[in-house]
Amino acid sequence: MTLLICRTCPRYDPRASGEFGRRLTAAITEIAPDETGATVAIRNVQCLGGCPVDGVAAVDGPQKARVRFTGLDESDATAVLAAALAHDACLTGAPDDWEIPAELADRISSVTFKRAPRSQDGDDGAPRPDPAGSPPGP
Amino acid sequence: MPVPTEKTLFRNVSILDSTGADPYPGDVLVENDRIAAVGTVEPSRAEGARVIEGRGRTLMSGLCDAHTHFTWNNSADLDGLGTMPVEEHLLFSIESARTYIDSGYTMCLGAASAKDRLDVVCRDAINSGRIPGPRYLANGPEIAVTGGALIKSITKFADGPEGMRKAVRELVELGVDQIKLSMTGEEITGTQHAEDTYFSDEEVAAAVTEAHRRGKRVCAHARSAESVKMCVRNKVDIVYHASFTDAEGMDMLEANKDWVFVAPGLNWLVATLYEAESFGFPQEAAEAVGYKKELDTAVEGLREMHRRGIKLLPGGDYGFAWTPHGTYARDLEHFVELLGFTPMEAIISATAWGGEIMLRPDELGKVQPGYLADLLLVDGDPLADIAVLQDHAKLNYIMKDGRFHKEHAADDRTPPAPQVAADLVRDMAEPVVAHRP
Repeated sequence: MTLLICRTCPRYDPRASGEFGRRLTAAITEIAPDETGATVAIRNVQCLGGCPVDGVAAVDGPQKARVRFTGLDESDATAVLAAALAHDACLTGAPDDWEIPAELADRISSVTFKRAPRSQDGDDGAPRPDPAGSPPGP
Repeated sequence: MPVPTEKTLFRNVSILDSTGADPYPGDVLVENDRIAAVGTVEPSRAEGARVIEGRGRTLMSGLCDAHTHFTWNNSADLDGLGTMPVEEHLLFSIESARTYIDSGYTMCLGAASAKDRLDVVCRDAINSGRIPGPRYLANGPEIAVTGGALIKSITKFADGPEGMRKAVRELVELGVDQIKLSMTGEEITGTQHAEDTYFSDEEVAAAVTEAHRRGKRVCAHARSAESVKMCVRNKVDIVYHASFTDAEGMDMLEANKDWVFVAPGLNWLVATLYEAESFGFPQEAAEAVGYKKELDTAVEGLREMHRRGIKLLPGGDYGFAWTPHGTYARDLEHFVELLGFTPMEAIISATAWGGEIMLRPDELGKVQPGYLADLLLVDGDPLADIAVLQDHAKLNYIMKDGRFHKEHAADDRTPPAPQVAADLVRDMAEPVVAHRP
C-alpha cells in the first residue's frame, strides 16, 4: 500500500514548510511497529494539491482510488495509518468501499478515480465492487 | 599536457538502461561528462575514481518532461500567470528550474513562456552553469489568433499567414528553440472550448514553414480533433494534449509516427477534474464544463495511440496551484494507471524517448557507453513501484553532465540502515526502513 505525505505543507508559510511531513512521517514510523502484519510504503511527495487547508496526506494504490485528507497533524498518525491499512484491504479504494476512521471522515478533500487499461474483450480490468453494494465514484 | 580525467564509479547498482532490457547488476563508470563503461568495469580503468556504493539501488537515466513551463507560477487561476511582475517572475522561473532537477528531471522541453525572454534567460543561465536546472529547450509566449487566446496577458497575437511568419521571426530573434501555437480552447477558461479550433490551415502552415526554415521546431496546444489533423498535415513536430483525436487523426498520427511526438499532459486533466476543489474548482464544476468527458475521451484515444506505437511522452503542464512544480513524476504513474503502459514502457518514454524529443537520441536518455552522464541513483525499484520516482528522498543521487547535483549524505555518514520496524514500515522494493527522518 502507498501512503503519500506532503513534504511541503504548509506551502504558504515558508518558514514552517516541510514541518508537517517530517512530523507525521516520524509519528507513523514510531507507531507502526505496534501494528501487525502490514507493510506500508511511505512516499514523501512534493505536494498533493490540498494546500489551502495544510496538513495533507493521501492513501493510494495501483488501480485504486486515491483519497486525500487535509487538515492533519501528527496527532492523526494512528488514524492515518489505519486509513492506509483499510484502503489497502479493500477492492476499489473508493471511500464507500472501506471504513474511514472517524477522525478523518470529514477531512476528505478529494477522491481521484482511475481507469485500468482495457483488454481486447473490452473489460477494463479494474477491480469491481460487489454488484449488490454501492458503486464507486460520485 | 593531458587534461586529467574525473572519474566516478557507481558500484553494485541495478542498471536500468532504458534499452528495454531488464535491470541487471553491475557497475557504471563515468569519465568527465560521459558514461564510459556499463556492466563490468575493468579495475584498471576505474583507478582513481570516486566510488559510490550502490548496494543494489537502481541506476537509471535522468527523466524528461516534454511539456514544461518554468514560468507557470503555481497560480490558483489562469490570470495569475500574467500578473506577476517580471522581477518576481524571473525568480520563480529560476526556482522552477531547480525544482525540476531536484525532482530527477535532467531534460525538459519548454512549452511556452509567460513573458518573452524568461525561458531563454533561464536556459542560458543553466547552460552557463549560473543556476541549477535541466537541459532545456526554451520557448517564447504562445502564439494565438485574435479571439483564440487562453490567457491574453501571456499571449503573442498573430493573424493570417503573414502575421504568423512575423510572429515566428520575432520569437526566433529572441532566441527560442521552438515555437508554440495555441490552436484550440481550454474548458477552464469558460469561454474557449477544447473542441474549438481557432487556427486556419494556412496559418499553421505559414508558422511551421517559417519555423522550420529557421531550424526551429513547432509544438501546439491541440485538443480538438481538427487541430490534431491540422498539426500532422502541416508537420507540427510536437502535439500537446490531442484529447479528441478522431479515427482519421489517429490514422494520420500512426502514418507519421516516425517523426511526430504526442505529449498529452495527463495530470492537468486528472487533477483539474478531481483535485482542484481546494482552490475553488469542485469536481461538479469540472464535470459540468467537460473535463470528465475530455479525460475519458483522451484516455481512450491515448491507449489506442500507445497500441499503434505512436510516441507518447509524459509531461504534464505543471505549475498551477493544484498541479504544482515538483510533482512531475506523477505523469509516469498516470501512463501506467490510465494508459496501460508497463512501468518499463513509461520509463523508456520518459528517458530514451526524452533523448529523442530533445534531438539528442544518441547521447541522452540511456545508460549506455558514450551517453552523457545524466543519472539517477534511486533507493527503490521503479519497475515495482513507479510512484517511488515521486519521492525526492528516494532520489539519492542526481547527476547531470557527470557532476552531482545531489548527493546522499547518509551514504557518507552512516552505515546501512538497521532493520528497525522492517516488518511494518518498509519500502516495497527494498529491505530497509522506508523513511528515515
